[in-house]
Amino acid sequence: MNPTHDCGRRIEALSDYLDSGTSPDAEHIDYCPQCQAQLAGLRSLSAAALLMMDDDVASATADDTGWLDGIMANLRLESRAGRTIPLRGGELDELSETEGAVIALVRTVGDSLGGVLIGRCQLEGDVSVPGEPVEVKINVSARYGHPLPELAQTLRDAVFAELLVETELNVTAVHVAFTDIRPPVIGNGSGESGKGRS
Amino acid sequence: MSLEDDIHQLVLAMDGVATVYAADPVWLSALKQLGSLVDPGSGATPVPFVVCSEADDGGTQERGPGPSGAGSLGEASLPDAASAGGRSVMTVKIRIGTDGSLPAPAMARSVAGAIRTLVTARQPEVQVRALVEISAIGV
Ligand SMILES: [Zn+2]
Repeated sequence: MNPTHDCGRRIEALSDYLDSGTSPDAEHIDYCPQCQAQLAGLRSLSAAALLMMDDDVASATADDTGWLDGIMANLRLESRAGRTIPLRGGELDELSETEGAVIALVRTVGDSLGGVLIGRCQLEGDVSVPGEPVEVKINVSARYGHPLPELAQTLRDAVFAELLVETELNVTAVHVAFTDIRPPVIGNGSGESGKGRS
Repeated sequence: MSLEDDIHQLVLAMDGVATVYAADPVWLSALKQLGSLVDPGSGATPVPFVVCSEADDGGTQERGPGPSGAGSLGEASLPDAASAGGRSVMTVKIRIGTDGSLPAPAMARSVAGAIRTLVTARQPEVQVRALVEISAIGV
Protein backbone atom coordinates (compact mmCIF):
# COMPACT_ATOMS: atom_id res chain seq x y z
CA MET A 1 0.00 0.00 0.00
CA ASN A 2 2.82 2.37 0.80
CA PRO A 3 5.71 1.45 -1.40
CA THR A 4 8.59 3.87 -1.48
CA HIS A 5 8.93 4.12 -5.19
CA ASP A 6 12.20 5.92 -5.50
CA CYS A 7 14.19 6.22 -8.64
CA GLY A 8 17.56 5.74 -6.97
CA ARG A 9 19.43 8.49 -8.81
CA ARG A 10 22.50 9.70 -6.92
CA ILE A 11 22.68 13.25 -5.72
CA GLU A 12 26.13 13.59 -7.27
CA ALA A 13 24.68 12.94 -10.70
CA LEU A 14 22.06 15.61 -10.13
CA SER A 15 24.69 18.03 -8.92
CA ASP A 16 26.58 17.46 -12.18
CA TYR A 17 23.37 18.08 -14.12
CA LEU A 18 22.86 21.31 -12.20
CA ASP A 19 26.38 22.46 -12.98
CA SER A 20 26.55 21.43 -16.62
CA GLY A 21 22.91 21.72 -17.66
CA THR A 22 23.14 18.42 -19.52
CA SER A 23 22.92 14.78 -18.63
CA PRO A 24 22.47 11.54 -20.52
CA ASP A 25 19.74 10.88 -17.97
CA ALA A 26 17.92 14.18 -18.58
CA GLU A 27 14.79 12.51 -19.90
CA HIS A 28 14.31 10.83 -16.56
CA ILE A 29 15.44 13.72 -14.38
CA ASP A 30 13.18 16.28 -16.05
CA TYR A 31 10.03 14.33 -15.30
CA CYS A 32 10.90 12.63 -12.03
CA PRO A 33 9.44 14.21 -8.89
CA GLN A 34 12.21 12.95 -6.61
CA CYS A 35 14.99 14.17 -8.89
CA GLN A 36 13.23 17.53 -9.27
CA ALA A 37 12.92 17.83 -5.49
CA GLN A 38 16.60 17.11 -5.06
CA LEU A 39 17.50 19.62 -7.75
CA ALA A 40 15.39 22.28 -6.06
CA GLY A 41 17.11 21.51 -2.77
CA LEU A 42 20.52 21.72 -4.38
CA ARG A 43 19.66 25.04 -5.98
CA SER A 44 18.55 26.65 -2.73
CA LEU A 45 21.54 25.17 -0.95
CA SER A 46 24.02 26.62 -3.39
CA ALA A 47 22.27 29.98 -3.19
CA ALA A 48 22.50 29.84 0.59
CA ALA A 49 26.12 28.74 0.46
CA LEU A 50 26.98 31.67 -1.78
CA LEU A 51 25.35 34.06 0.65
CA MET A 52 27.23 32.51 3.51
CA MET A 53 30.52 32.86 1.69
CA ASP A 54 29.85 36.52 1.11
CA ASP A 55 28.98 37.03 4.73
CA ASP A 56 31.58 34.92 6.35
CA VAL A 57 34.50 35.15 4.04
CA ALA A 58 36.61 36.97 6.62
CA SER A 59 35.99 34.50 9.41
CA ALA A 60 35.37 31.23 7.66
CA THR A 61 37.29 28.22 8.83
CA ALA A 62 36.86 24.66 7.74
CA ASP A 63 34.42 23.67 10.47
CA ASP A 64 32.16 26.61 9.72
CA THR A 65 30.66 24.54 6.93
CA GLY A 66 29.76 21.52 9.03
CA TRP A 67 26.14 22.56 9.21
CA LEU A 68 26.01 22.65 5.42
CA ASP A 69 27.19 19.06 5.17
CA GLY A 70 24.45 18.04 7.55
CA ILE A 71 21.81 19.72 5.44
CA MET A 72 23.23 18.06 2.32
CA ALA A 73 22.96 14.67 3.95
CA ASN A 74 19.32 15.27 4.77
CA LEU A 75 18.46 16.37 1.29
CA ARG A 76 18.98 12.92 -0.19
CA LEU A 77 16.93 11.36 2.59
CA GLU A 78 14.04 13.75 2.32
CA SER A 79 13.70 13.82 -1.43
CA ARG A 80 12.23 10.35 -1.23
CA ALA A 81 8.58 10.03 -2.11
CA GLY A 82 8.04 8.63 1.37
CA ARG A 83 4.64 7.56 2.58
CA THR A 84 1.38 8.01 0.73
CA ILE A 85 -0.96 10.54 2.31
CA PRO A 86 -4.57 9.98 1.26
CA LEU A 87 -6.83 12.84 0.16
CA ARG A 88 -10.61 12.87 0.15
CA GLY A 89 -12.10 12.09 -3.23
CA GLY A 90 -14.80 10.30 -5.16
CA GLU A 91 -15.78 6.81 -4.13
CA LEU A 92 -13.92 5.09 -6.93
CA ASP A 93 -10.93 7.41 -6.96
CA GLU A 94 -7.68 7.17 -5.09
CA LEU A 95 -6.22 10.60 -4.46
CA SER A 96 -3.04 11.24 -2.52
CA GLU A 97 -0.07 13.43 -1.77
CA THR A 98 3.39 12.06 -1.16
CA GLU A 99 5.11 12.67 2.14
CA GLY A 100 8.07 13.95 0.13
CA ALA A 101 5.91 16.65 -1.45
CA VAL A 102 4.70 17.82 1.97
CA ILE A 103 8.20 17.89 3.45
CA ALA A 104 9.50 19.83 0.47
CA LEU A 105 6.68 22.30 1.02
CA VAL A 106 7.66 22.80 4.65
CA ARG A 107 11.24 23.32 3.55
CA THR A 108 10.24 25.91 0.97
CA VAL A 109 8.14 27.81 3.49
CA GLY A 110 11.05 27.90 5.93
CA ASP A 111 13.65 28.88 3.40
CA SER A 112 11.46 31.72 2.19
CA LEU A 113 11.42 33.34 5.63
CA GLY A 114 15.04 34.42 5.50
CA GLY A 115 17.47 34.09 8.37
CA VAL A 116 16.90 30.37 8.68
CA LEU A 117 17.96 27.25 6.82
CA ILE A 118 15.80 24.19 7.28
CA GLY A 119 17.69 21.09 8.28
CA ARG A 120 15.95 17.84 8.98
CA CYS A 121 12.18 17.85 8.68
CA GLN A 122 9.88 14.99 9.69
CA LEU A 123 6.21 14.16 9.90
CA GLU A 124 5.48 12.08 12.99
CA GLY A 125 2.28 10.11 13.22
CA ASP A 126 0.39 7.82 10.89
CA VAL A 127 -0.06 10.09 7.90
CA SER A 128 -1.66 7.28 5.92
CA VAL A 129 -4.80 7.36 8.09
CA PRO A 130 -7.05 10.41 7.61
CA GLY A 131 -7.55 12.43 10.79
CA GLU A 132 -4.69 10.87 12.73
CA PRO A 133 -2.74 13.48 14.68
CA VAL A 134 0.50 14.45 12.99
CA GLU A 135 3.36 16.45 14.47
CA VAL A 136 5.87 18.28 12.34
CA LYS A 137 9.46 18.39 13.55
CA ILE A 138 11.82 20.87 11.98
CA ASN A 139 15.51 21.38 12.67
CA VAL A 140 16.68 24.86 11.86
CA SER A 141 20.01 26.51 11.37
CA ALA A 142 19.69 30.20 12.23
CA ARG A 143 22.03 33.10 11.99
CA TYR A 144 23.27 34.47 15.27
CA GLY A 145 21.57 37.73 16.02
CA HIS A 146 18.08 36.76 14.91
CA PRO A 147 15.76 36.54 17.92
CA LEU A 148 15.09 32.80 18.11
CA PRO A 149 11.69 32.68 19.86
CA GLU A 150 10.29 35.12 17.34
CA LEU A 151 11.83 33.21 14.47
CA ALA A 152 10.40 29.93 15.77
CA GLN A 153 6.92 31.40 16.12
CA THR A 154 6.99 32.91 12.64
CA LEU A 155 8.10 29.58 11.19
CA ARG A 156 5.47 27.63 13.14
CA ASP A 157 2.70 29.97 12.00
CA ALA A 158 3.80 29.87 8.37
CA VAL A 159 4.07 26.07 8.31
CA PHE A 160 0.70 25.61 10.03
CA ALA A 161 -0.99 27.97 7.59
CA GLU A 162 0.50 26.32 4.54
CA LEU A 163 -0.25 22.75 5.66
CA LEU A 164 -3.83 23.74 6.41
CA VAL A 165 -4.31 24.84 2.82
CA GLU A 166 -2.19 22.29 0.99
CA THR A 167 -2.91 19.09 2.92
CA GLU A 168 -5.72 17.40 4.81
CA LEU A 169 -3.39 16.37 7.62
CA ASN A 170 -4.52 16.84 11.20
CA VAL A 171 -1.45 18.80 12.27
CA THR A 172 -1.45 19.03 16.04
CA ALA A 173 1.97 20.60 16.58
CA VAL A 174 4.91 22.12 14.77
CA HIS A 175 8.13 21.71 16.72
CA VAL A 176 11.04 23.93 15.83
CA ALA A 177 14.49 23.04 17.14
CA PHE A 178 17.52 25.23 16.55
CA THR A 179 20.37 22.86 15.91
CA ASP A 180 22.94 25.32 14.61
CA ILE A 181 23.57 28.96 15.24
CA ARG A 182 25.68 30.29 12.45
CA PRO A 183 28.20 33.02 13.14
CA PRO A 184 27.14 36.63 12.80
CA VAL A 185 27.94 38.67 9.77
CA ILE A 186 31.38 40.14 10.15
CA GLY A 187 31.34 43.86 10.69
CA ASN A 188 27.93 44.07 12.31
CA GLY A 189 29.58 44.98 15.60
CA SER A 190 28.41 42.04 17.64
CA GLY A 191 31.93 40.87 18.32
CA GLU A 192 30.70 37.40 19.09
CA SER A 193 31.92 35.54 16.06
CA GLY A 194 32.04 31.83 16.63
CA LYS A 195 29.81 31.67 19.62
CA GLY A 196 27.16 29.01 19.83
CA ARG A 197 28.31 26.79 17.04
CA SER A 198 28.09 23.01 17.02
CA MET B 1 -3.41 10.85 -30.25
CA SER B 2 -3.97 8.14 -27.74
CA LEU B 3 -6.29 8.43 -24.79
CA GLU B 4 -3.22 8.71 -22.57
CA ASP B 5 -1.86 11.61 -24.61
CA ASP B 6 -5.20 13.39 -24.51
CA ILE B 7 -5.41 13.04 -20.75
CA HIS B 8 -1.83 14.26 -20.42
CA GLN B 9 -2.55 17.39 -22.46
CA LEU B 10 -5.84 18.03 -20.70
CA VAL B 11 -4.27 17.92 -17.25
CA LEU B 12 -1.23 19.97 -18.28
CA ALA B 13 -3.55 22.72 -19.45
CA MET B 14 -5.49 22.91 -16.18
CA ASP B 15 -5.14 25.95 -13.93
CA GLY B 16 -3.05 25.09 -10.90
CA VAL B 17 -1.10 22.29 -12.55
CA ALA B 18 2.62 23.00 -12.92
CA THR B 19 3.86 19.62 -14.12
CA VAL B 20 2.79 16.16 -15.09
CA TYR B 21 5.51 13.77 -14.01
CA ALA B 22 6.50 10.60 -15.78
CA ALA B 23 4.43 7.64 -14.70
CA ASP B 24 5.68 5.84 -11.62
CA PRO B 25 7.74 2.90 -12.91
CA VAL B 26 5.99 0.75 -10.33
CA TRP B 27 2.65 1.32 -12.04
CA LEU B 28 4.07 0.18 -15.35
CA SER B 29 5.78 -2.92 -14.10
CA ALA B 30 2.63 -3.98 -12.25
CA LEU B 31 0.61 -3.61 -15.42
CA LYS B 32 3.15 -5.38 -17.54
CA GLN B 33 2.81 -8.35 -15.28
CA LEU B 34 -0.94 -8.27 -15.68
CA GLY B 35 -0.70 -7.70 -19.40
CA SER B 36 -3.47 -5.16 -19.08
CA LEU B 37 -2.18 -1.89 -20.44
CA VAL B 38 -4.93 -0.36 -22.52
CA ASP B 39 -2.56 1.16 -25.01
CA PRO B 40 0.65 -0.76 -24.64
CA GLY B 41 3.79 0.43 -26.29
CA SER B 42 2.38 2.93 -28.75
CA GLY B 43 6.04 3.60 -29.26
CA ALA B 44 5.77 7.32 -29.85
CA THR B 45 6.29 8.30 -26.24
CA PRO B 46 9.41 6.87 -24.68
CA VAL B 47 8.33 8.28 -21.33
CA PRO B 48 4.72 7.47 -20.47
CA PHE B 49 2.94 10.09 -18.39
CA VAL B 50 -0.50 8.63 -18.00
CA VAL B 51 -1.26 4.98 -17.42
CA CYS B 52 -4.66 3.60 -18.34
CA SER B 53 -5.63 0.06 -17.58
CA GLU B 54 -8.82 -1.87 -17.51
CA ALA B 55 -8.13 -3.96 -14.51
CA ASP B 56 -8.27 -3.22 -10.86
CA ASP B 57 -4.75 -2.79 -9.53
CA GLY B 58 -5.69 -4.09 -6.14
CA GLY B 59 -4.01 -7.35 -6.95
CA THR B 60 -7.16 -9.44 -6.91
CA GLN B 61 -7.98 -9.09 -10.55
CA GLU B 62 -5.27 -11.11 -12.13
CA ARG B 63 -7.32 -12.53 -14.85
CA GLY B 64 -7.32 -15.95 -16.40
CA PRO B 65 -4.16 -17.47 -17.74
CA GLY B 66 -2.63 -14.04 -18.15
CA PRO B 67 0.62 -13.84 -20.07
CA SER B 68 2.43 -12.81 -16.95
CA GLY B 69 5.71 -11.22 -17.92
CA ALA B 70 5.71 -13.09 -21.19
CA GLY B 71 6.58 -9.96 -23.13
CA SER B 72 3.26 -10.06 -24.93
CA LEU B 73 2.12 -6.52 -24.22
CA GLY B 74 1.27 -6.09 -27.86
CA GLU B 75 -1.48 -8.65 -27.62
CA ALA B 76 -3.17 -7.00 -24.68
CA SER B 77 -5.30 -4.65 -26.69
CA LEU B 78 -8.55 -6.37 -25.89
CA PRO B 79 -8.54 -6.64 -22.14
CA ASP B 80 -11.44 -8.50 -20.67
CA ALA B 81 -12.20 -5.67 -18.38
CA ALA B 82 -12.73 -5.75 -14.70
CA SER B 83 -16.35 -5.08 -14.02
CA ALA B 84 -18.32 -3.26 -11.38
CA GLY B 85 -22.02 -3.84 -11.49
CA GLY B 86 -21.79 -4.93 -15.07
CA ARG B 87 -19.77 -1.92 -16.21
CA SER B 88 -16.09 -2.20 -16.87
CA VAL B 89 -13.73 -0.04 -14.86
CA MET B 90 -10.88 1.89 -16.37
CA THR B 91 -8.16 2.94 -14.00
CA VAL B 92 -6.28 6.10 -14.95
CA LYS B 93 -3.10 6.91 -13.07
CA ILE B 94 -1.25 10.21 -13.13
CA ARG B 95 1.07 12.18 -10.87
CA ILE B 96 1.32 15.91 -10.91
CA GLY B 97 2.98 18.93 -9.37
CA THR B 98 0.84 21.92 -8.43
CA ASP B 99 1.83 25.55 -8.94
CA GLY B 100 0.44 26.84 -5.65
CA SER B 101 -2.38 28.89 -7.12
CA LEU B 102 -4.96 26.37 -5.93
CA PRO B 103 -4.85 24.09 -2.88
CA ALA B 104 -3.35 20.70 -3.65
CA PRO B 105 -6.25 18.57 -2.33
CA ALA B 106 -8.73 20.51 -4.47
CA MET B 107 -6.42 20.12 -7.45
CA ALA B 108 -6.34 16.35 -7.01
CA ARG B 109 -10.13 16.28 -7.01
CA SER B 110 -10.52 18.51 -10.04
CA VAL B 111 -7.93 16.53 -12.00
CA ALA B 112 -9.82 13.33 -11.19
CA GLY B 113 -13.06 14.98 -12.28
CA ALA B 114 -11.59 16.21 -15.56
CA ILE B 115 -10.19 12.77 -16.36
CA ARG B 116 -13.55 11.17 -15.64
CA THR B 117 -15.34 13.63 -17.89
CA LEU B 118 -12.94 13.05 -20.76
CA VAL B 119 -12.92 9.27 -20.58
CA THR B 120 -16.67 9.04 -20.12
CA ALA B 121 -17.24 11.20 -23.18
CA ARG B 122 -15.16 8.76 -25.22
CA GLN B 123 -16.29 5.54 -23.64
CA PRO B 124 -19.65 6.02 -21.95
CA GLU B 125 -19.78 2.34 -21.08
CA VAL B 126 -16.84 2.38 -18.69
CA GLN B 127 -16.60 3.55 -15.14
CA VAL B 128 -13.54 5.61 -14.38
CA ARG B 129 -11.30 5.16 -11.39
CA ALA B 130 -8.81 8.03 -11.18
CA LEU B 131 -5.61 7.65 -9.23
CA VAL B 132 -4.06 11.08 -8.80
CA GLU B 133 -0.88 11.58 -6.85
CA ILE B 134 0.37 15.04 -5.89
CA SER B 135 4.13 14.55 -6.12
CA ALA B 136 5.12 18.17 -5.61
CA ILE B 137 3.32 21.14 -4.09
CA GLY B 138 4.11 24.61 -5.36
CA VAL B 139 3.88 27.75 -3.27
ZN1 LIG C 1 14.51 10.41 -10.44
